[in-house]
Amino acid sequence: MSNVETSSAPGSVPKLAVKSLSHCYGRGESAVWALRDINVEVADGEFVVLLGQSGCGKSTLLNILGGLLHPTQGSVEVSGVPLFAAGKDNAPKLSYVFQEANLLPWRRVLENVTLPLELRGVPKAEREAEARELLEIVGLSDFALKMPYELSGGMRQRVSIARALVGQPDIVLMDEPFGALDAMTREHMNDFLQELWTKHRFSVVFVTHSIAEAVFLADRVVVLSSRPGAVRSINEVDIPRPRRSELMASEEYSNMSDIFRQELK
Amino acid sequence: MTSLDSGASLEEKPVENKVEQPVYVRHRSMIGAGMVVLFFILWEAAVHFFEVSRFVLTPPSKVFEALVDLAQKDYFWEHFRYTVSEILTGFALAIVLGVVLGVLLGRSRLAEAMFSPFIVASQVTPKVGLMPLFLLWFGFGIQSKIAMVTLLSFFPILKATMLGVSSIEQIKRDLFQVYRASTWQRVRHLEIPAVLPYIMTGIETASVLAVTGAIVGEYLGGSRGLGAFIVTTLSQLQVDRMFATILVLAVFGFLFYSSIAAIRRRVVSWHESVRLSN
Repeated sequence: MSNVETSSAPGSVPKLAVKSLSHCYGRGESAVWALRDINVEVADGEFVVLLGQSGCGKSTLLNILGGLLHPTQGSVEVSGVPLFAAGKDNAPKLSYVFQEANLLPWRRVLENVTLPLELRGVPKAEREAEARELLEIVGLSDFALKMPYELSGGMRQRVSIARALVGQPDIVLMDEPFGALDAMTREHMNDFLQELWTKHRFSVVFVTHSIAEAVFLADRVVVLSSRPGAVRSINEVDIPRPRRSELMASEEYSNMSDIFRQELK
Repeated sequence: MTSLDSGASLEEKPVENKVEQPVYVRHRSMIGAGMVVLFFILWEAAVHFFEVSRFVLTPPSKVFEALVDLAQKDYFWEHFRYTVSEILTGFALAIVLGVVLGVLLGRSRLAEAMFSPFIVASQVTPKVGLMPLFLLWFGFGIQSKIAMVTLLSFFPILKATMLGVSSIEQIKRDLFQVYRASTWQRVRHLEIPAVLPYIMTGIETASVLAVTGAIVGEYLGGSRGLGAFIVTTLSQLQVDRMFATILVLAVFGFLFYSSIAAIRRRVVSWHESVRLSN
């Protein structure tokens, strides 16, 4: 394991570049710095995990990356385009997987997956073809015409992942996407996500407070300290893939977990 | 792109809620109809058994006779059409006003804070008490009755719309912001579908009040409409005709309410309020 600042090859534009980003809630005396001077880059096709305790500002950071919150200072660039200055036409294509599936309950599964394309003005036939392809990939093609309430929690979260992958986003943001699921389903979903990512290599920023999840999924783990949230270390996880759940019993896994546990203290 | 092999292994059961339903659930409407018939039989029997004066309580057989008689009179249907047009016009106005104001008040905290005292006041005020004022303002014609229908049925729609607008989850709004949806896209694909179940519930509640508003309005002023006709029959001690008219109103009210309820169940079939009641 080695501490490195960036993994992108010299000269190439990273998928995501966060530059000296700080965020402050409130003003004057009551101001609280949630994030302080964050610098992170995500290379094309890289899986980066933001690991930190609750309240360390990792969700704030993800909200900024998703364009939901303007940072107090600093900038975010997606494929070299500044996130907050971009117009509708050259806007970076972001997608977001929330803690809950966050499907629209009045739309069928298929229409939930087509939503991002619909908002971008893709014609109906085209967006449905692509959405069906994605549903096939997440193993839910039989459920395309079901309503969300007819699905279990894990299936709903897979629909939400399909929705996040539709339309080839520049970057997929995931905010503890399996946090609301039971332990068994969560383990399945981690397997599923790794396999999906290994096959299709999209760029991911994945937020979690689970060390196990971080080690299992990440190419690199960004450890955030608390109050204010700052980058404590950036660590490459060089355990070969595919990683299996037996990994948790191995020595390299426990060594790495120990290091993260120390850093999170 | 290929599908994942693990797709099958992590297959979970979709939610199934097809439970064998007990007899009284499957034959609900038949049981209900049977009870109505039984009610009329008991009514008839009671009138004969206790020898009640026909000026106090007319037996259903006489009521049906009066009904058949009235159904052949043009003036009866004239009254009926008058009342129905009051209801439909007043109700349509109430829907438009209630939804528009509900959206405005539900969106703006300031507007809600400004107007909530008035909304609460108008909730606790017996609105029927305003009818004499409406007669003063709008006269004894159809306008004062439409105003009454609108006033009574407006509030449930307003309240429901406000509740619906303010209860759209932030996480849903975030979803649309991540995908940079335009204002119109947000209104069309998020706000309207999310608020619709609330509006439909408000409309359903209001439909009962709309009929009440029309009848009360006709009781208090003017000579047209079924409400006014009831007053006339009573002054002429035609209790059988009065009951027949009330029966017609009840059937109309039932059809009006149940067609709106049917529309609601169809339009928002995905919503818990519909799914859990089926």
